[in-house]
Amino acid sequence: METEFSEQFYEKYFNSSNRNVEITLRSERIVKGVICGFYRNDEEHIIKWHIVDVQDGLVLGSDAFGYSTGEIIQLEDIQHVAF
Amino acid sequence: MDTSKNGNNNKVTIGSLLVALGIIYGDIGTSPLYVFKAIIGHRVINEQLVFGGISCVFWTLVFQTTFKYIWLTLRADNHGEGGIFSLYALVRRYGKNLVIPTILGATTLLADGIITPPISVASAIEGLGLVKGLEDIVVPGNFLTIGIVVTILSLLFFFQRFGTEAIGKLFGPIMTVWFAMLLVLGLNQMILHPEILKALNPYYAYDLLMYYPSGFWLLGAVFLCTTGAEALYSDLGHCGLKNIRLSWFFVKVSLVFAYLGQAAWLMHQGKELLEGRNPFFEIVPNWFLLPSIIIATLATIIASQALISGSYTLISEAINMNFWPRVLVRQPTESKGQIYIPSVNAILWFGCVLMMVYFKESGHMEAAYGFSITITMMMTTLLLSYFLLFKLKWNKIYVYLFLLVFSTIEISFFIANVAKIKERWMFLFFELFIFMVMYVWYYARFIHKQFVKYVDLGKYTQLFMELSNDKNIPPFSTHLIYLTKSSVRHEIDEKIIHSIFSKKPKRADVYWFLHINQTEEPYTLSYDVSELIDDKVIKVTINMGFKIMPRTELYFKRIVQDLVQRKELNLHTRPDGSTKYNNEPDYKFVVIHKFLSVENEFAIKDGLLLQVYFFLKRLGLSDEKAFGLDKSDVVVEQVPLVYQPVSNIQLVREEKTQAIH
Repeated sequence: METEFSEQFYEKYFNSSNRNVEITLRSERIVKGVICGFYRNDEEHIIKWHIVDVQDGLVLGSDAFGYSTGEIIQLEDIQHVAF
Repeated sequence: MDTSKNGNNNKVTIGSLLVALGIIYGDIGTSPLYVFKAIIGHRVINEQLVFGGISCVFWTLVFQTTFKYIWLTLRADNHGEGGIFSLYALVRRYGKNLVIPTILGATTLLADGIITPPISVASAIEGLGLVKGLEDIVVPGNFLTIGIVVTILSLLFFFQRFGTEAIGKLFGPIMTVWFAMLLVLGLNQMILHPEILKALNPYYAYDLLMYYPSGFWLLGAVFLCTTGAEALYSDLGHCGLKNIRLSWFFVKVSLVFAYLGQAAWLMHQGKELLEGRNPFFEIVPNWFLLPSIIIATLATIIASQALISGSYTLISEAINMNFWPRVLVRQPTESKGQIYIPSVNAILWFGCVLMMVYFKESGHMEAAYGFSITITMMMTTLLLSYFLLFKLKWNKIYVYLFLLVFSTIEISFFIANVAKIKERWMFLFFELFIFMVMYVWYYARFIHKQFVKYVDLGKYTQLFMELSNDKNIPPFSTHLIYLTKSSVRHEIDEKIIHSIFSKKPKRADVYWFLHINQTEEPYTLSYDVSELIDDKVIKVTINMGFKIMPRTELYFKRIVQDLVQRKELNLHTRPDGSTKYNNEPDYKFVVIHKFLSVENEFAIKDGLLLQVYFFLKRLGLSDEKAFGLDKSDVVVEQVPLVYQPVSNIQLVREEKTQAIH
């Protein structure tokens, strides 16, 4: 996925009421959940997405010990997004 | 609109010209004290060497100082400000790797600060040896001479903490006397030997470099005449373009006369070798020797002062542009823009004293001098070519021509200076230290930034409302303020959400998220406000120029006052009834300190960079002090920074085989 597309995804996702997302990776693996955070590079482009399972801690994206739940997905690994 | 620090600094008055003379010409103006001594050295004095030397000096002043700096580089002003960081701020968007030449240029410019003061002051003090009765007492390199120089330098560095507002007014008049003295002394010799004027013919320079034995390497000594040129650009903001250009006429004539006068004396002094004599003091009449040494010493102190102040400014800009760890910056006087950085003062003092003790006399320091500043100049040339191409929209051919001419000149000077490498190993160590600090600080922040997780505030609006109105949770503060790295209106760092909602939630009436936006313009100070939830969640972006002191708390107070006056904010008072004693609302800043978690696994380079970064961060100023948060309650929270969680853990439970009876 191109960095420019990442911004479009960001706009669409956070303007949408449906927070569930299905991301197909280049490895054909499918990751489902909600996006609870993202990382930007020096040019302010989003380069990584943090996705957690709906049933996990939605507020903070981490467990009671402070460890991250879910998965961090690199932008270049994303093949397709549906939500 | 004039956005320079001082809207009047480009007006030309007698006063402004005096300020320019006092601030920016100290370094280049005191070069006649040692340039010819360095060119002649232990060589046999003849026409080829003397005429060639003066010709090289003259044409270096024409090309390098007048053409490159006075005419061209001063045009690269960033809202009235000059210097390598201002230039970088102007061109950084046009080239990805311009950060390296910027760091290199700033490093070498700062390193110059540990050699210019000792070489200048030592050159002046060594002149005392020519005074009748002091010949055997003041000898270059002896304990007394070193002691005098070290004492002068130590006093100079000690008095930095009090500022230079009071004595600064004398700098201009003293330097005017100095340049007038150069002019008269030079003219006196030129009248006696007017034939020296023919040495200005560039053929003599060519002849020296091409045909004199090892003539090319003399460029290392010739270069000393222009070492102060970079200061002209760095101090653009203090003096203004017109003042610098106008005063340069007087300075250049004085300098050329001083060099020509020394050359004329050399041609007629009758001895084959210099034998330790300094041509500068030899052209001074005996009756004027002591006054001239006093004036020279004062001029060198002023030159050193200008360099020290310039170093503070450089580091202050480096801090604001994220090239240097945050360190304590003081304002010793009410003078705008005058700063004092204790840590830089200590480093420079130590460096200067070490240089003096190590080299012992100015003659030995000449070998180490010049190397750093050639690198600064080369880096300025590179950055300037981007400015000419993209900002001034010069034709590419002219830009390449500019690059070709000045690269040739500066690389030649650089090679000649590199030849003296064995003399300055200590210098390299100092430069390497500064370079590493800047490099690590910049690139570790770069890596760090990619691992800062952001969240969308919109997702938490309901939670903010619920928490703020939840009477079951004890109030933490009326106004709760966080500093966020996110420049986007509805985004904040995930750590802040953690701080507010996890474990013991922090209930407040108003949640503020402050973002400091560093601008490319030097003196911007503005803000914008986004109310994400009316009177509940407010994001404020403070746009701050790289020359502005980050006094966040003061700016925040002004913003709140402004919002209340405009009736855009209800100034919430404390909910516990204590307002009858004091109706000021309570503010609480939460500063999140991050530390490198043991959970991380890195590539060697990234790991090393981050380890050094966090080490430097511990040595530097804490965030609350750096951002000027010391009036309100500040709560500091420690948060582990996990860049890459360890994923492959195989933890096996060992089953007990024997039952316990």
